[in-house]
Amino acid sequence: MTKREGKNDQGLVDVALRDQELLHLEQDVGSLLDEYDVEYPSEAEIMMTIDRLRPFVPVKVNKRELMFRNMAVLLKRALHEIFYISPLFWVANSLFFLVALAAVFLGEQNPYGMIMILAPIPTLTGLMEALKSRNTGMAELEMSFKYSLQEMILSKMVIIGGFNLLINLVISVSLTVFYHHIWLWKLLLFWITPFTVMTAIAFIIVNRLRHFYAITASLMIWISFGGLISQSHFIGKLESLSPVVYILITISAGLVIIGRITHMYKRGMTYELNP
Amino acid sequence: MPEDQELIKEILTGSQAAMEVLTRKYYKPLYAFVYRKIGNKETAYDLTQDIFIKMMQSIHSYSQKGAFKSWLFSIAVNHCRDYWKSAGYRQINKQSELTETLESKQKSVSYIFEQKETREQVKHAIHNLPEYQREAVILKYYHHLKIKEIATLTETSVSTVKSRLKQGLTKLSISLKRGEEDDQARRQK
Amino acid sequence: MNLILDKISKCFGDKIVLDDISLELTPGVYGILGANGSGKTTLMRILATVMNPSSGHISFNGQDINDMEHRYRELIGYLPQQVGLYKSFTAEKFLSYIAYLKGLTKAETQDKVTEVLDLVGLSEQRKEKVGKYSGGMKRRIGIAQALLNDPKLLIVDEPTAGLDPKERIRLRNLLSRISSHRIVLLSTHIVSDIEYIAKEVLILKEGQLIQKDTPQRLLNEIEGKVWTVQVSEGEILELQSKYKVVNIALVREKYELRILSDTRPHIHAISEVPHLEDLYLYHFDEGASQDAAVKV
Repeated sequence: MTKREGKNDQGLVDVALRDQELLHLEQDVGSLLDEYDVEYPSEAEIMMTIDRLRPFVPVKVNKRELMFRNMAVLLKRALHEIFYISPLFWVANSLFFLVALAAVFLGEQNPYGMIMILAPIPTLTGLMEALKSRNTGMAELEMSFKYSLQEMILSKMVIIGGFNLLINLVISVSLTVFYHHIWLWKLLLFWITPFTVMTAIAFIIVNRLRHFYAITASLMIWISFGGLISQSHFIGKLESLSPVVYILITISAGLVIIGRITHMYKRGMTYELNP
Repeated sequence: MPEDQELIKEILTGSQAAMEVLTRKYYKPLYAFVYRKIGNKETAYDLTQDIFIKMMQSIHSYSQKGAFKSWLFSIAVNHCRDYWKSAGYRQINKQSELTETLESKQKSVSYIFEQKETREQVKHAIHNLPEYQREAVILKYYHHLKIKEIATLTETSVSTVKSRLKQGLTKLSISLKRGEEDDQARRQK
Repeated sequence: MNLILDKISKCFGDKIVLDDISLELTPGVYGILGANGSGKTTLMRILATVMNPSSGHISFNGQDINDMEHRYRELIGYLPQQVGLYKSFTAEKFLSYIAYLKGLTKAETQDKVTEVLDLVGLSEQRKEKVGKYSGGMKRRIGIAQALLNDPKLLIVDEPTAGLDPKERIRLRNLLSRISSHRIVLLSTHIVSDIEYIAKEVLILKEGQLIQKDTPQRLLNEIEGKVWTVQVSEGEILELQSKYKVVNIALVREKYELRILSDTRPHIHAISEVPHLEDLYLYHFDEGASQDAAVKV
């Protein structure tokens, strides 16, 4: 018996097997094979298996509900973060704006140009603040926490952006109050545009954490651009541009920001730390 | 009955009910396969449970390309092979364990099916087939899988499956026709 | 409790760092052995969610960790190879801050900080600034922060690098003590770190998982392939060119060579009991035969 079996196993390679033959064999033993029936486990036993499987079913997530919950958590954490942002940031930025206001009032600079230059500065300096842990070598560790580095950065960015928005509004309103010839909507347009553009750039930079110095670089670029704007003929050209252009730029920058935030929230951020 | 793909989608979004429907749909076929392959009620129950757990653990990596049934059976086939190879099983002589379980089952009153003579013979004959032949015969005959499907899920070629089937069925035909006396004689050997 | 890695790969550009890794982890210590660049750190980063795999899935108790998000990160404790620490913080403040980031409530934080400081033996230095800590103490506070959330999965990357032997033993004992009821994943290139505490050893080579087994079974595999022989200086070069010489020691004016070879490398060679160190060198040449330091 065993000997024959061995031979048959060798015959496994016999490819020229006819299906007809198989069918015949099947008919031959088929009725006998039917005899081998199975007694199935009881309903209770099947239920036990099903219950054992329950923990393996992914937990149901309602996408919209989750998004709102995430937003709420984000805002709550952002408020908490205010206390973790170094006082230096607040002081430096407030000073900045005092100087700017003084330049408009005393130095009689073009208010539109001035606000355009100032608009993104808090965001950019704030970015440095947000990326602080990169400097202390904590980034990798912080990314693994429940509230990961990405989310912490996002919270900080929300705070910083909010602060920026607030301070700009205050300036815009105070300028229009003191200078009746300044048109508020134009002023708003002139700071919202650079603000969203630079914030978008900031978010892109945040996604590429390793280029920390890029922030310093973009600050420098912005300040020299500021120098350019302050040339009165240049600001004249900017002022002559159709508001539609500004609005379009703002909208596209806004889309980039929304895109980046969603991306960050999905943890799709790719920090490739010394690969 | 909803399509498997839909059920899986629902499971992935967290539906316990979909998991239950899918498990119930395949519980009996899977259990029958394992039982016929292993020949022991308790072990078959445990292994079936393991297979379903494996299914749930890797359900997100199930690609929608192949039929779900084939995918599930390939988990079952591999799991049974692993069990067969497992250290615990290897130590026990295959033949003696089978005879032993048969004898103990015969004594148990609850398991009336076991006492049917032909059934006993068929079971014994199937269990005497080499593992791969037994696997192929069970999948083909009891689960009506196509030869091509069997080849895919046992990771072999169509012609190999055909020869396994042919040899398996031939052996079955011989040993079943030889009747019980031969069977008894061989068992004593 | 189990963690399943299903066909995990990671590429940086066209460089494959992890190649189709599949494995299952259950509670206990797993030691990952591998040379520099073998993908150890990348694997750990992926498990710590610091990096995303290029392909593949990871599931914890059957749930995809991407779907679990916060719930997964609540379960892990991670100690990267290099931790900067906030140097101006005291140990206590540092841990409280991390506890906050890990989502512990204020009430929990106090107790937990005391508990982990106690566990790693830093209770007395709790008011000292972490910047002033020694290398070993820094590593211990690193472990302490990883334990704050009572993790089910503890990932420590090269925790013993740069530590003196005493600190290493201390850390090893600590890891072994905290390994019940959790999965501990420990990477190292110092084999003795894991020889006695690991439930299983995973060997990574060029991004591939080439072995996963208990230390004993891995050792059985090279049983009879480890030899020592005492030779004169003149014979060293010849043996080095023919065999993998893993160690050279000067013993009573003769050189004792430890050699890995399937056959007896020298008529006077004696078969030795293999150590994990030998196994490691068996898989990773690392120029051992050339660089084997002469220990006097």
